Amino acid sequence: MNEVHLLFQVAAIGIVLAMIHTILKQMGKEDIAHWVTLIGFIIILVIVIDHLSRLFQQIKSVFLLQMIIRGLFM
Amino acid sequence: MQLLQILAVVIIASLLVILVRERNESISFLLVIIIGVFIFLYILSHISQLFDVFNQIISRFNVSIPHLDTILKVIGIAYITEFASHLLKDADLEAIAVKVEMVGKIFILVLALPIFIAVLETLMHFIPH
Repeated sequence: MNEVHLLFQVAAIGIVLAMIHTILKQMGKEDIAHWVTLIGFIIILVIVIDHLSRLFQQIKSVFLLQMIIRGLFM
Repeated sequence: MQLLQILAVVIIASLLVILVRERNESISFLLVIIIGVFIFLYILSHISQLFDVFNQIISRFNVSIPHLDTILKVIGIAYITEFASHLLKDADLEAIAVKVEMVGKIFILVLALPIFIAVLETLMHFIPH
């Protein structure tokens, strides 16, 4: 069930980021807004890459893509 | 009933993607990637059970399927390349998606080369010199 939690978390981060961006823009601090959005994006990117690497590890183990093909793939 | 569960999760997640897409495009694409990863992880657990049953059948009835591991590898490569290329297509990056598919085909070809060679050798034996 933790997938659903993570999905909601990422969506929440996205929405909150957008709101912060608009608020900061109205306050006149345009550049900080861009920085905040960038940092939020990087946080989500790290989460996604973590799950992606877990997926690739599992695929390598399930489909026996590890043994002989070490040179070809990795 | 697990099917209904996973479908519900996917529908909810797609609603989230549409919601986030209005505000910023890039994070919605990350969300799409995460959904794809979760579905794949879910499927992979079932596929590994499938392969275990397959191996048990082979070992019990000692039916030897030649090149079984190559077949598994080809399936794995096809799986991953299709995952990546459909993601890119979804992000309107058609050109890169086509390239990714080409890379996948090349790897499958390289993997299947020894089988081609084996087939050719058996053919050559039939032709009398």
